[in-house]
Amino acid sequence: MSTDFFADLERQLVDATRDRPRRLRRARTRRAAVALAAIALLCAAATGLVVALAGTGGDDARAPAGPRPHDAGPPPAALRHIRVAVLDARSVPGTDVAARLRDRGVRVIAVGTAPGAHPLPPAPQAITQVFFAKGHQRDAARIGILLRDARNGLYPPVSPLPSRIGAAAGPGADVVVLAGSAAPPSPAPHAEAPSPAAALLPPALVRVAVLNASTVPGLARGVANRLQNVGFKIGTVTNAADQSRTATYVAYAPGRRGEAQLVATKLGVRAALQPLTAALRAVAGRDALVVVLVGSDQNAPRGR
Amino acid sequence: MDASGDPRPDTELLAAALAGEGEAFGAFYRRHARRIAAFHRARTRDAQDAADLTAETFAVALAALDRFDPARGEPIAWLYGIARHRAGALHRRGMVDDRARRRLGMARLELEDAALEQVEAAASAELVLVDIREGLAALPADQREAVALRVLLDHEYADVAATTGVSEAVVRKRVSRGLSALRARLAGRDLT
Repeated sequence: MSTDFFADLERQLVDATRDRPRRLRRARTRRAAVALAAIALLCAAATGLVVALAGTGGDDARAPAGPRPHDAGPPPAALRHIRVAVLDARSVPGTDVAARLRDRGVRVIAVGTAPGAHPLPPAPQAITQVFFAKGHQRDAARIGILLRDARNGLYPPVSPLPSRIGAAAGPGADVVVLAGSAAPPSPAPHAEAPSPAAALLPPALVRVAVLNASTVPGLARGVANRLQNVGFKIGTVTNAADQSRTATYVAYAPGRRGEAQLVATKLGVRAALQPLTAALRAVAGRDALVVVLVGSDQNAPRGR
Repeated sequence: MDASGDPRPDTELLAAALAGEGEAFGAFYRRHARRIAAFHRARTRDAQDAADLTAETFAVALAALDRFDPARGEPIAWLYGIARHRAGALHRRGMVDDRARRRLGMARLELEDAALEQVEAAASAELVLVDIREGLAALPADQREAVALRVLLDHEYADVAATTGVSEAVVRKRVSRGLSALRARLAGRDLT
């Protein structure tokens, strides 16, 4: 603490003036060392990324960098540092989720069954859920990608770790997987995957534009809300040029038929997929992977 | 009226500082520190920020000493340029930079209340001085001379009268009028 600012600063400056060349030289050395370390780190990170991409076959520029569910191959570097706890919340023991994750190079630090006496997780769970500790949302997304359900192409929901589940999983886990009975049966062939060949993007990465192709006001907004509720990212919501449609159909950007199918399923629309035309794309926006043209059939009361 | 206590002009002080004479930079600092602190205080509304900016301004000047070119202007203009730039950096980044101080191994000075008051006092004194200087310049020549000799240089009325060749009563009148003109000028200024 200084009680005489001007005198103290003067003393500092006089000392620094006498010692100036040496101090500046030292600072340069320090900075060079920091810069070198940063470059080394960047190189390491870039190598890691290349390894991750090589291991997963990054074939689509739009896909997020990261592992894909259907690729075997060396475990991506990005997965190795994620500490995962797996809690079994199934009524019938099925696939070993922990073993499956380990196969993919994930560090599983704890495996447990949710004890019946414990209030959480509530037994038995149908769906698999992924929870992330603070700061590990991306890691949870990576794990979620590995746990895609091959039967319906869905990814497990990813949400922040509630403290009670965290307590059940024990300390030190970045990501907690609550394995439900619908956990992917095996990393084996995906018989009924809706999209051939390509893996589906998680809904949160699929931007859906919704165009009202009917004369019912607000219909597109309602559909957009429903899609948003099941996790899709909503893009443009507006009126289509042609507003006389009764049958809703879903258009898809190249390579996104699977995602369009998923959207169509969510909306209860059958066999109404079409490739996206340039005219539609102009209205829907370039970033939309899937475009829903809402016909008046969506006006029917929903209930299930 | 020079706080540096060194008769050498700024350019010579900076040249000597570059050669490693600590006292030379100390003198340069003493000559301008309060004005730079006032400059920063008027822009930051906070004495600790003003002190940090003052320290960083001089540290930047010291670190960049070899880049100062006397052919391109006075050292004080160069110093103000640095000060303005540092003050701008505070607004852009929301915090006072301390890179130059770190390079020079100067610890940040945390100010106790006494030191904060010192910065405040220096700042307002500097601003008043500027006003007085301008006020003096605006006075009629005879009043300016009388005020300078009597008040600033502390000569006796009799001596001032002898020097200027008028009666003591006339000197008193000129000093009194000059001072009230200055007072009126300062009164128009918010001194809080």
